[in-house]
Amino acid sequence: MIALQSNLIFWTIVSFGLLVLLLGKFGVGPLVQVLEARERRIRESIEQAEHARLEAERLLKEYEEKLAEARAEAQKFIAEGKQLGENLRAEIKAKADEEVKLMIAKAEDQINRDVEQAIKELRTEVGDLSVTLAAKVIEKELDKAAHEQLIESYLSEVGRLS
Amino acid sequence: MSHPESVSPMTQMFEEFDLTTEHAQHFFGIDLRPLNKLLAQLPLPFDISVNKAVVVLWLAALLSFGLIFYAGRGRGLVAKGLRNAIEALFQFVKTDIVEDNMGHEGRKWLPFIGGLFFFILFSNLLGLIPGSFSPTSNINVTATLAILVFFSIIIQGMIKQGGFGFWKNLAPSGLPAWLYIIMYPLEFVSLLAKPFSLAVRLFANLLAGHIVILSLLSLGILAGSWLVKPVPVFAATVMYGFEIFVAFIQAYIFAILTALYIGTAIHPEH
Repeated sequence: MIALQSNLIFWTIVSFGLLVLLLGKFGVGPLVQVLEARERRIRESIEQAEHARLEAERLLKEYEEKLAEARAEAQKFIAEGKQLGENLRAEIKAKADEEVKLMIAKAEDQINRDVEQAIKELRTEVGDLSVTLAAKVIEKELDKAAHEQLIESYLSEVGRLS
Repeated sequence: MSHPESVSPMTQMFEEFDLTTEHAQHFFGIDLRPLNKLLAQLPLPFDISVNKAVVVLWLAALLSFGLIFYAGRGRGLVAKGLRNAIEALFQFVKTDIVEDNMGHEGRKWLPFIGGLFFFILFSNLLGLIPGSFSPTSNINVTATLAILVFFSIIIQGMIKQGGFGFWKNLAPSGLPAWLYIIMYPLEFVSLLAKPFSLAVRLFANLLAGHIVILSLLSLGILAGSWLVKPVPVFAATVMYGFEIFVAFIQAYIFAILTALYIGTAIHPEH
């Protein structure tokens, strides 16, 4: 079993030598290229996917930022509107208060005037009436101008009593 | 088979291991003797006659080249079936055996290492077919491959480190001078031990596997009772499965050690 067999040695060298030669010339190159092309393709795909993921993340962040911005702005608008309404209300109330005061003052004025008028009228009326009454009582027509003084003093006394 | 009735099955089985008989000059019914008559006419100082081991060598080389060539011609990015299997094996040889042990410079050794791996693998596997023969279970074949590896180491080393540098770098530098008197013979023996161990490991593993199966089947023949006969046959079947594993592992070991040895010649500092 263990003996020098030149035919095996010879054919081993020939078969293996030819195999290595052929592999070097036609076999290994194309297969290595196929394998490397696939490796490259896979690596590129992974890189692309990574790139896409980063891009998506970036976009998401951007949108979130924008959303937050918009939300803040809306909040600001609402606050501003509220402030404006508040101001407007206060203004209107102040105006209304003023108006009411004015109206009250006017009314008071009117009332005072009316009272004065009434007093004046009353005075005339009472003067006339007392003259008539006195005339009737003493049956003598009094000189209107002479008794004006008398009436006045009487009336002021009445006014004080009332 | 061309055996008279009188030849016992044991003798027939043992004959399967013998390459010197006429029986070895048949390969699955193909008579190789006419071819050998023709080869004998050639004026060569040594015998180059063809037997079944040689035919298996041819087939292994043919299969190795054919399959790699076929896989390399594949179109499309997605490999399927046989192409995928060859690509996976080749990728394994390329990255795990060649690039890991030889670096990027190992690229030009890919045909050699890859050739070794596939050639040995198919020699091992084809030898498992009953009636065939494992050329790798013969020391002449494995020793020839190992000697080719040996020369590859020396040539690559001398190219890379210079004709003198390679021999000088056998022993590490920076040792006391007297130590080199021991170191150089030691390293030289270690250099010779590399191909020797390669040759013996492959041949012994393959042969041992076959001998175990042979022994188990012999037990089956020798067993008197038909109740006992299936036991060694079953054991032989298990061994057969293990031999398929051994076929791969031995091809791998031969290839990776070769890559390691040549890689060391390329990068002596490691």
